[in-house]
Amino acid sequence: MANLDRHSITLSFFRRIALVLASVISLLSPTGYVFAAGAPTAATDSQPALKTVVVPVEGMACVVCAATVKKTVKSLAGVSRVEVSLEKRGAQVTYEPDKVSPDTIVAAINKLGYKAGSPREAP
Amino acid sequence: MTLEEFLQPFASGLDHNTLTSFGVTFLGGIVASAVCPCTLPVGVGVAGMASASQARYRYGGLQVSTAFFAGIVISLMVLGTVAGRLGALATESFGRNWALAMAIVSLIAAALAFWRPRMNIDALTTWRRPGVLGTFGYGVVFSLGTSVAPRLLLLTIAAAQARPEQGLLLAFVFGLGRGLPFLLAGAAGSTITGLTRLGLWGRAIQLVSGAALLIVSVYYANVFIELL
Repeated sequence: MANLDRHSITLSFFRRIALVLASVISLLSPTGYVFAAGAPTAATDSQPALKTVVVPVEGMACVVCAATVKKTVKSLAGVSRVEVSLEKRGAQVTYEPDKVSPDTIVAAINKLGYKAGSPREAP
Repeated sequence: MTLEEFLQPFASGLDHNTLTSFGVTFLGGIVASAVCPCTLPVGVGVAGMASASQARYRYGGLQVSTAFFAGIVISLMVLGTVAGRLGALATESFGRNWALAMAIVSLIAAALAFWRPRMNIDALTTWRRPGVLGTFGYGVVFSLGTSVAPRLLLLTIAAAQARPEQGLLLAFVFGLGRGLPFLLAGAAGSTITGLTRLGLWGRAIQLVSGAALLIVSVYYANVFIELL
C-alpha cells in the first residue's frame, strides 16, 4: 500500500514537471506550438479560418483554360485550394478571408480574359 | 468573345433540326477552336507533321492532316452518343491525365519526326499506314480534352438534343468546324513543303517539324504540372 502511494506521488511529480516544461516551451516559442498531445493547444486556436466559395467561370474551352485559371487563382496569397470544373463551368476556391477577398479572386480570373460570376458559398 | 456569348443568341434555334442549327453548330466548332489555347500549338504541330510527311512521300501531308481531322470528327461523334457521361471527361483529374497523354504522344511524334529521315525507303513505306493511323489516334486524344467543354455547353443550351440521332448529327457538324483549322494548318504545311526544293530543305523541314512537336510536348507537360 505504501509502495503504491509512493508510486502515485512519483508519477504526479513527473507529470507536474512535464506540464511546467511544456508551459516554458510554449512561452519561448514564437509560433506557440507545443510538442504535447491531448488538450487543444495554441496551434489549434491560431489556425486561420478558411472559407470556400464557388466562382462561376465563363469562357473555359478546354483543359488548358482550366489549368490557367487554377494556376492564377492558386498563386494569390491566401488561397489554399482550387478545384476547377469544366462540367460545372466554375472554380471552387478555399481561401483565408483575412488575406484575400472573393473580389480579388474574381478580378484575377477576369484579367485572364474569362468572365467570372458572383462567388457564392460552397455547399 | 466567349463561346457562351456566341451561342446564347441562337439558343432557341439550336433546338430544331434546321439548317440554321447546323450552321450555328458548325460556326460554334470554329469559334471553339478560335478561343481554345490549344489550337495554336497543336495547329503548329499538325502543320509540322504534315510537312514532315509531305517531305517523305507525295500527298503524305494531306493524308496526315486528314487523319487528324477525321480523329477529331469521329471522336466528337462518339462523344455525341454518350452525352450523359461527358461529365466524367470534364473533371480536373481527367484533364491532368489527358495533358500527360498529350505530352507523351507529342513527344513520340517529335521523336519520329527526328528519326524517320534516317530510315530507308522500304522502312518508310512500311511505316506509312501506322503513321496515318497514329495521327488519327492523336486527333482522337486531342479531341477528348479540348472538345468536351464546348459539347457540354451546346448540350446545356440546346436541351432538346436528347434524341441520339440529332446529338450524333450535331456532334458531326460541330466536329467539322472544330477540326477545320487543323485540316487547313496541315494543308498549308504540306503545300509549303511541296513548293520547296526537298533536296535542299528536306532535312531542315524535318528538324523544324520535330522541334514544333517537341514544343507541343513541353506545353502539355507544363499543363500537367499546373494541374497537380
